[in-house]
Amino acid sequence: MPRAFEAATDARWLARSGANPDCGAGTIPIDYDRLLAGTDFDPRMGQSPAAFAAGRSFEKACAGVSNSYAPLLTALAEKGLDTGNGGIEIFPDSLSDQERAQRTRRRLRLICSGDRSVVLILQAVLGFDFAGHVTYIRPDAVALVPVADRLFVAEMKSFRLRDGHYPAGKIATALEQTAVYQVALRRILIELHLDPALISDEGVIVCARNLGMEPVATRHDNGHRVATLEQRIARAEARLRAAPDPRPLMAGTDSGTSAADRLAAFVAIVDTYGVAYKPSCLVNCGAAFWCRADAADDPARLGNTRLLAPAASLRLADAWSHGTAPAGPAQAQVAAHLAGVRRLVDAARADSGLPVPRPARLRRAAAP
Amino acid sequence: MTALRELVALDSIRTSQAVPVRSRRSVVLSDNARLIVFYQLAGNPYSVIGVAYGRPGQRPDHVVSCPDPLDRDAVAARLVPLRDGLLDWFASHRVRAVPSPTGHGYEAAAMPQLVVTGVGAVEALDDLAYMWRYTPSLGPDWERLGREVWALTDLRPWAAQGAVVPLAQALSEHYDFGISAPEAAKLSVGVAFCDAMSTPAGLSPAQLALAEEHEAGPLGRPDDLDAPVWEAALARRGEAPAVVRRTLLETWEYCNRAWGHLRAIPVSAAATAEADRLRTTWAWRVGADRTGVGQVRRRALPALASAAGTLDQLEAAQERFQAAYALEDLMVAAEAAGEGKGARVDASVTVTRANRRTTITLDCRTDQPLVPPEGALVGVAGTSVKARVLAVTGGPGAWQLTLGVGSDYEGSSGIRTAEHLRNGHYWFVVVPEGGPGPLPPPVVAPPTHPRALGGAGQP
Repeated sequence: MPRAFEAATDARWLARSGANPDCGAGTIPIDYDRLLAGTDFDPRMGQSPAAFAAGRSFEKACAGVSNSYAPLLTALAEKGLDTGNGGIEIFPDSLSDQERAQRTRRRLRLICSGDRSVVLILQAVLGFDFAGHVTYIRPDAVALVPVADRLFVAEMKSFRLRDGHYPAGKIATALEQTAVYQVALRRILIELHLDPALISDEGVIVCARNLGMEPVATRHDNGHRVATLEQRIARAEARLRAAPDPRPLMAGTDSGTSAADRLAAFVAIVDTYGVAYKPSCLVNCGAAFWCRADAADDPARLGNTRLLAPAASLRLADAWSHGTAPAGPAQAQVAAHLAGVRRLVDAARADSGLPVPRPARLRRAAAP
Repeated sequence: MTALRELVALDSIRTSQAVPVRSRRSVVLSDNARLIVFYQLAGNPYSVIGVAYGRPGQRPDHVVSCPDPLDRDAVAARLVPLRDGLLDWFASHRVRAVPSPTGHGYEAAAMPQLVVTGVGAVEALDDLAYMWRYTPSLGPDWERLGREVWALTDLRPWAAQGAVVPLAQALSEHYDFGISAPEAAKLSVGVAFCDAMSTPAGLSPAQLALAEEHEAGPLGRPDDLDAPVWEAALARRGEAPAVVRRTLLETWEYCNRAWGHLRAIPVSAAATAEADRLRTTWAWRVGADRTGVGQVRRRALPALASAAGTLDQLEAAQERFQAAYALEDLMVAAEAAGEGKGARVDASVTVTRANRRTTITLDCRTDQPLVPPEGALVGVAGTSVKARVLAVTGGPGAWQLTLGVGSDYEGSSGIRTAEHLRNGHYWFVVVPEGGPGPLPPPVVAPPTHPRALGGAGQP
């Protein structure tokens, strides 16, 4: 059954949305991983079944033998998030997204009104308006827990917090994702005419302790991430509203279309919305290999540069460094700096006995 | 990215080859090092898919594939030859007790060195060492191995450290490939660019794609390695799929080539000096671990104060190494000069003697874009001279600097050498002036820790 390439605006997409604000095509909800699969620019993304199994195994450990989630609640209580004696509510997978979203809203309204008969929500679905469409995000392995007058988002992650090692990078990534849920919950509370400040700025990451699967919670101030993400999502939303509808460009293109035609459809998207490649796109975007090839002469492909970026062209910067005069006086300072550093490098090479690379022309950019 | 790296990146793009950014190696490579290549299941830090182990530059001594990477006992049973080999090798690095102010000091003639693919592998090895130490069911030999490996991985933050060498990062520190940092972190890509130095045409796009594909295999594309291993483990086939051994051997080959490229660079004296210091630090740590004497007597300091003290020592070591390295390796000096933290100058030397006082002045000219500011203390490359920048005039492309050496100029040194400097070209770089050292630990045990020994510490 052929599938269209529209991307689900899920938590991962929202977290990435606007990560590269200069890229137009990046803000369009199209699944580039699948669109470019089988082309020369196949992103070759894979998923590890073992990683999924580890995640499921840790969720089971958090649930405990009787599915009471006592281990999780104990871990939260150890960090000052004592939820009291209320029950837990798990929305069954058999319900549709709309039904789960409605039930989630009902429960949120009750909790925010002071009802503590339920103190742990799992398998919630957060439905909210995004760029004129109702978007549903399904936070797996995320618990919503009311403590005092705030609602906390606790995310279960199977990585380890062990003696002598703090997984700072992994926790930062998890908090980025938690921020998506915090933003979504705040939007829902606004729609319910409740105070969005009821959603705590803190993010709670629950991970496995040492060698076993015992959950251990850590609390983090996530307010700055939430604020940044809110701005990014709002900007992406505004761009999405203002941008032309991508559906006509994708008409007739689905998973049954040939690789060449899918590539042509992608090029049409690029022509309409534009792209702006950065090395970070390699981990964020399925179109990164195409854009990298397209940016062969663009200094941005090296990352942040101070001297090359003003030249806007690697070949031009190379020519300046070899003494070619720039076209305008505005670029003269950068050209002089490049030439000065070139002299330093050549002198250091000569004094160290290192070979000097031959002064050939920079290779032309390979057309994608 | 420094100005020099930006410029060298242009050279690398132009030639499609790795271009050296260092003329001296910043890490000492041991003749008796051991290379460990291993893979784990994604999201399972204590798993082992397979391990290859041996001497870098040679064929592996052991290649072990584990049918069920999550079964810690079964994995340990398969890795017994590797464990015994490693323990013998560690034991060959003897430590000797020596007198010290605290009563328990150690020294060693040589320190073990582990070589791994990249920084991710260092973290993974640290995880495994933790598991080996704290899983009693594995037995005392594994516990001992965990302690020995941990003693090395814990020294990773030290400047120019040679305890654990992550090959991908070591390569990209010494060569530029004209690619972004995330791409350069792939060992196979760096090795391909280095290999291309011997071919006039450089690395072709097809060869680059192949190198990227290799790294995208086991590390970035888990469906090529994780999925078949996971499937075999679930099916309890009792045998790991062939892709494990193949991947281990391919990665081993990349490591050997990286090792060869690194060894081709002559080692810097600054790195050798730091390696000597690190060997003493290692001996203190591992000596206490091996003998059980001297390891629990450092409780007089609260954990945070101890961490602050360590951080101070790390920063001091880093500054000391960077200054010495830049004065020795002119590519590093050029990198500093590109940032205005050094200069290549045309200097004329004036020696002034008044009674018994000697003062040396260097009048320098340079055409570089930026120069160190007035008041900076600079070292003259290739000498022991440290001079004070007395005056800076001119502008970008035409600077004049006056440097002074003598008792009138605080911090300057090496006047006997400076007296013999002749007019000509010199490189100099800004050197740290040195600040107050770390606060010492309390000299007596605090009342909260009556059994603690005040003043205990490591060199």
